[in-house]
Amino acid sequence: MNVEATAGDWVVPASFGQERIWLACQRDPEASTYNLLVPAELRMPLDGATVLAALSTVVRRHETLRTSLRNHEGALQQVVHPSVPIELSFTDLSQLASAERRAESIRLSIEAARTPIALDQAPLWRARLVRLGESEWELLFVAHHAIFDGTSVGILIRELEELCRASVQGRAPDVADLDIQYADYAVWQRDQLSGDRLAGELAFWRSRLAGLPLVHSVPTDRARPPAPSSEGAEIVFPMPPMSTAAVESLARRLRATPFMVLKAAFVALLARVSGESDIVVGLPVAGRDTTQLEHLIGMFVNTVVVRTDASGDPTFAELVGRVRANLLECWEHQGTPFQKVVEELAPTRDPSIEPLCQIEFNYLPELTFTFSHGVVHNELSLEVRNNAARLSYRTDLFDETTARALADRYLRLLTAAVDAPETRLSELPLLGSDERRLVVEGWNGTDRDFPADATLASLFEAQAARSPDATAIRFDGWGMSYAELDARANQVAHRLRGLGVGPETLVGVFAERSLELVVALLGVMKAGGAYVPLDPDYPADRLAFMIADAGAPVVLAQRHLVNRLPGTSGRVLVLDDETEWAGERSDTPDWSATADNVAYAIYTSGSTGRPKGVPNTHRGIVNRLHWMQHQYQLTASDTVLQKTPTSFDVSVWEFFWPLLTGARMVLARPGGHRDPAYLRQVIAAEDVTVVHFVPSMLAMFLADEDPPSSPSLRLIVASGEALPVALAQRCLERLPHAELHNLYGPTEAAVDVSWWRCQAWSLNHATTVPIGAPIHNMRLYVLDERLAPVPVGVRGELYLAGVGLARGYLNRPALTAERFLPDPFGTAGSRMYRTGDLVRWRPDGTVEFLGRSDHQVKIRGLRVELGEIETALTEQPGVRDAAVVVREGTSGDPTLVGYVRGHDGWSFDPSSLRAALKQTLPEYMVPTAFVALDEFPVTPNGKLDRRALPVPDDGDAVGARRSYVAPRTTSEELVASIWSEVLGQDRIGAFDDFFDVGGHSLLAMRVLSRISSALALELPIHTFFEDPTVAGLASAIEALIAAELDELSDDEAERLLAEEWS
Amino acid sequence: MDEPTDYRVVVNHEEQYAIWPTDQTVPAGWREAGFSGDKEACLAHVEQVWTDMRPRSVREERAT
Repeated sequence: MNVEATAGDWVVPASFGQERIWLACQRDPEASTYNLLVPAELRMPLDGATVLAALSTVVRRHETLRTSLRNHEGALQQVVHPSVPIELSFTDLSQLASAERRAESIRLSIEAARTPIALDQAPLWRARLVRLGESEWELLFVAHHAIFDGTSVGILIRELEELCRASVQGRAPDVADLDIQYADYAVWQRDQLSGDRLAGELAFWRSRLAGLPLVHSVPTDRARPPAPSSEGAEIVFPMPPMSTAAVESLARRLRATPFMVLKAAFVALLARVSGESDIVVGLPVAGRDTTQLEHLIGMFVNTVVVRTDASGDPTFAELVGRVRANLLECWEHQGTPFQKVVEELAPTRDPSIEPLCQIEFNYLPELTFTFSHGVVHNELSLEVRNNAARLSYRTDLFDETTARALADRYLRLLTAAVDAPETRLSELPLLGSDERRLVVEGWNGTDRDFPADATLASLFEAQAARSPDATAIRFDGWGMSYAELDARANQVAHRLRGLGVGPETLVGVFAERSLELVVALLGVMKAGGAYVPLDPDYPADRLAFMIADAGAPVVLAQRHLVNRLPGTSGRVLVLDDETEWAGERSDTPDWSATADNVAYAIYTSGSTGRPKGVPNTHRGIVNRLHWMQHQYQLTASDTVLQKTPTSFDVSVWEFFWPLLTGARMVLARPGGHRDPAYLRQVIAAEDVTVVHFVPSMLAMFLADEDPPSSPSLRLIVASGEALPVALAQRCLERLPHAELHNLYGPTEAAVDVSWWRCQAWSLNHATTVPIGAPIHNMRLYVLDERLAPVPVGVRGELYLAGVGLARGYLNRPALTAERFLPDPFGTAGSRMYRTGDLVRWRPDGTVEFLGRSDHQVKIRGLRVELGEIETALTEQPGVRDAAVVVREGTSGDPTLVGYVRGHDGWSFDPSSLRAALKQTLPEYMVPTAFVALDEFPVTPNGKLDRRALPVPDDGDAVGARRSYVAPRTTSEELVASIWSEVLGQDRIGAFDDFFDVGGHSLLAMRVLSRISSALALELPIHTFFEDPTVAGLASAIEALIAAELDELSDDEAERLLAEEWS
Repeated sequence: MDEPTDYRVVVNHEEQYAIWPTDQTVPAGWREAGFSGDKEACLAHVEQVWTDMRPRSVREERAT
């Protein structure tokens, strides 16, 4: 290759690298993100004039230092100026004490690096000479990345030093002549990258990068904001000398380079922490592959996208082989500018995500780290040197503890891998033994004494003996004392016993909230049996199935419900029929169940549509209630509101916690649990101190009318759904006298297994409310697919173990065997339950819920938690409920559809919903269509029936890629006509997304330049990134015109309008 | 990473059945029940052999 010198036009096309930097800068032209700082130390006796002369010589030699950039009719150009003003500011710090001198020098560096450089005004650099001592000078040189790169640093320093030294020594400087200039390179590069050669290069990249994931899946501490930031930080850590030697020897053995081994370890790390096997990492290359370019200052560096397939659980040695093959292949094609690849491949664009790759790796054994000023260009970036490594990270996504953990894991994994390269990827140690102990044992150190042999019945009887005359239950103005409740429950027990009910017998209870409901539950347990709640709201088919499946020989029913009871072979006893119980004994029965027997069995819906019964033991629920009493100390002066239907296990603690501790229970009237106004009234009338809410009901309770004062409340327990942070905050603000606790547990354990107290200070920076730490005698494990514990911060599936585990699924051996596994970390022969919930450990030993494993979908290779989108939707004003599902789009790709139900008087406006979601969610998570529903389809037990949601019509689509809406206003028509000209397409609709219909960043520049010549209006390119639709651009234009009109007189304005729209 | 494909049926002292990946050590307190295969086959086997789902200790206590 030989770069021909071209005799000089002063205006030449920009290089591709310059285009990339220029475009990146358009997002925020005021930012200093792409400033590169060179602190050049000059240790020799000098004066300002000498340095100025040297700097002038360097500027004369290198055209880049006299170049600015301009956007000319949609094409980026370099304008090379024959001369530029050379300003060298001067600061003398030599009189300061050394500590102050150092501090001041750093301050000046940061100030210099952080001052923006406008790309259209040459020169694109600034310099300040700092005198530190007699022969100690520092030149703080800041250049824009558009004219400078890492290699340029060395060139600049070398030339400056030599020029100064030569001047001091009074000799001619020894600097190489420059045969060509950067402009020559840019012209040559364009020339090279055309025709067949370009086509060949692009064909390679197109096939290499086909189906590339939109973004990596390394877990971040915070969700990606709508626009990427460049705020960053870094940690530098030593590379153990042992590992350097071992890396070299392994590399030799595998006929690879140390670089390949180090890169393979990084790929392995990313694969393990993300759980993905398609690993994409950017690799910076110097881009100076000819000697003529070695001495030029300029922007040559390029990024090569290296994609490694880590699937099939390869050994580390195999992975090094794959990385070696990837790198060799990609190096062959490293000349294709990254910007060109982005344009030509037009990957699906998302303004919150850098295209193609977001993680970088580099190995530069000899170099020292340059000064960083808190700015990063990648989400994560690892640079390895001989003795040290540096991990840079975006601080809006990652915390320092997370970055440190990643660095530790990299070293641990690398050390183990080079030591035993035949180890499979899945077996490489990610956790140190300390961390493993912590997540398996330390945070699960929950062993506590509790009445392990007691049953609910025996504990209630003990309490009834302690406080016979205290009020046990209040219902609709009626009350019942402990003694009375005990006596009536005994009657039921005696009768049931007579009918053969005993331990392990399931008895149906078919009753609405009422005094007799509580009598029935206690009576069943006093007989030694277990109750099965039969919700009166369930359809007859489902009830019939449950009664038969449970084999219930007896059903206890309220009189008014009896005729709704499906046919049963068992006996039906009418609870509220006095004659039924008149002759029955009311003394305490002298038999009982043991703690190992079943206390209750609740049916939950199964994925097959067939409900499954879950029996829980007395020991499990007694442990759960004992923990609750230890934690929240219910006393005789407390009143618990019982409002949860019996078919939901939360009701179990609402019934039995007060009854076991001598407190009062107030039953909400049937249906009252859905009525916020009634709840507020009953809470006030009965001085309720403790109440449970499912988060969506809590939202309604708090939203209803003015601040609900409810001053009697001291404890609010939330569970059953993910608790949104904003809701928790609102609850603490509205009800400051009540503690709010988030509890978590599936029906397959005795009610709850973990807890977290919500407090304002801990919610402030949270994106989710944790489900917390395990309760007494329960253990939480976060495991990967191979049942190995995952590290803190890494997503895994939650498994539960401990005394609170349910026995399994009634009559479902296979399902039980699948979900209740051997617990490899617990006592011999114990089991653990696989929840299907995706979680991760937080560094404080609490667990964060991330979603359901079966509720997670992949959109463009990216994991999307539908619940997160649903939460964002319900947070929009007027929206009552929301559901999001994935449907196959017109192109066959999965697309998101949002379903919403509004409050009364709410008007459905898909465009504004979409716009609002874009404020909080990344683009790929915003549904492409919305459907408004009056009612959501529900399954028999009241959960949303996703399969019954209607398929959207074309008309429901908004942002509506590919569904055509004609431009509606003059400005939309103008924008659409310019688009169709630039894109060569006829039919451009108002909601077409520029990047979806074939546009890319450079074409966007062209569009803007057409708009500006048509309207004499400067439209900044970042408007394109904010809303790249015809409608979006048109409204940006209108806003700009309106702003200009404001500054004109009426006459001027009219004249202007007439001109522009004629 | 992928879920395991090969399992075996295991059983504990309470005669509770479960399945466990073949390439991992059977946890203490569990023994092999003499059946292995893919997940579905193992679960089908469990459906056949686990006829009384009450833990052994509960069953025996009732019998006395």
